[in-house]
Amino acid sequence: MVSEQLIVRYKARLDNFVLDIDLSAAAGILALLGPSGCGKTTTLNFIAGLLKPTEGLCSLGKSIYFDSNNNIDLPPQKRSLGYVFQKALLFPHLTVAQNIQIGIHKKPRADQENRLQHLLQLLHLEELKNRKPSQLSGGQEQRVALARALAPEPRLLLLDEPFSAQLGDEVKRIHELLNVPVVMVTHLASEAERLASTIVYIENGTIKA
Amino acid sequence: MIEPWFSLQLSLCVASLSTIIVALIGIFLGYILARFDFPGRDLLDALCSLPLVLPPTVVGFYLLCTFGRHGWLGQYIYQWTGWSLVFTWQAAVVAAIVIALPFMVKTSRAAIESVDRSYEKVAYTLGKSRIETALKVTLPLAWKGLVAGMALSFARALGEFGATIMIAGNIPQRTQTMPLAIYQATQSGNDQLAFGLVGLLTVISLAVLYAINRLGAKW
Repeated sequence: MVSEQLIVRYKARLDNFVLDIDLSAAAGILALLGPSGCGKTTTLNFIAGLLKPTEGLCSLGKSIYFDSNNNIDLPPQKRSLGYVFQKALLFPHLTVAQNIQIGIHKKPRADQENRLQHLLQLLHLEELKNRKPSQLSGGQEQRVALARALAPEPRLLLLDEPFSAQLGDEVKRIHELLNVPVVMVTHLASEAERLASTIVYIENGTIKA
Repeated sequence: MIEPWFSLQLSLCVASLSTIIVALIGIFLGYILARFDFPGRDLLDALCSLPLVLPPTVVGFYLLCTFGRHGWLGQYIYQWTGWSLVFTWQAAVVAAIVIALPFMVKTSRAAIESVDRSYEKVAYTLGKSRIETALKVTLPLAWKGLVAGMALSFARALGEFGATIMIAGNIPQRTQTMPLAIYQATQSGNDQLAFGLVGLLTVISLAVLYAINRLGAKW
């Protein structure tokens, strides 16, 4: 995959401060580091299209996701991003395999099945594929959430506060294997240093050098 | 002449058919009310709840004004088809739909509102459209509440009396549902028949509700 430039420039008024973010990064693992409540997750939600900023620009390579000047606001469905939320949020009524399948859009059924098998293998989930989320451990849930986020073959992976060190390592392994760029949010400097190629420090809604 | 078996069949048929239609309309309205913020939402909610507080005879009167041969909608139906809804078994279905709808809308709205919106956000990031997300994620997660709403609607439709007698009349072997048959049996002093009908309706209602609850619990 050719590395694509991610540009994020936002202004948004939050409850207690103004979020003013301006960053651009090439493919790699970009860590947004900062204390809780500084606007990291909000930034991730802006990139994913789940929140709408007052003004700004967000683009990945040649795709413009959001541009307030030109009234462009791509819905999350069309941004082709994988998002691993802080909580695994697996669909409780579906099995592990069905949770992953829901994001696979390949049309011939055989291709769909191949993709599912590939993802199950990639994250060592073959033996869990018929289980319901309530039968999984926290770590297993996170791995399924990661597999599910990778299912639609996203151009960028968003990761909100990996709850365990293992998940961070898993993401790094996937990044190296699939060469998919990652934006992760963390409040642990050690984790950011261990995993990320670029670290951006956010405090009170703005980027610190 | 009261025909208990005909009345029983008609009641079950009317209640089943109206429950299916009420489920479709009620889930749709419940979803709209739970997930969209639009001007007039409170008004729509109030309108959906209105049959709950109005006496069923008033609802029946409105239905007559709407579907009667000279009603604002009924006159066109009659002009085009030569058919009128009034005094038909279909009128009993319409009455049951309107009377039972508030139960379905209220319960499905509450059930859908209780589904964590984060699941929907996950589905959006996976490329699922709003409709796909509703069908594959939101409604399955609200399933228990929806089944409860259907059970309530069925029970309410089965017991419907006031609006039914206004628009469908009380014609033996045509529109005489169980509640109407019971009313007539009591009025004509046939207490034994009334007892039998009441017992039958009670047992069947209980059995249906029990079965639906079991279905909801298993899921």
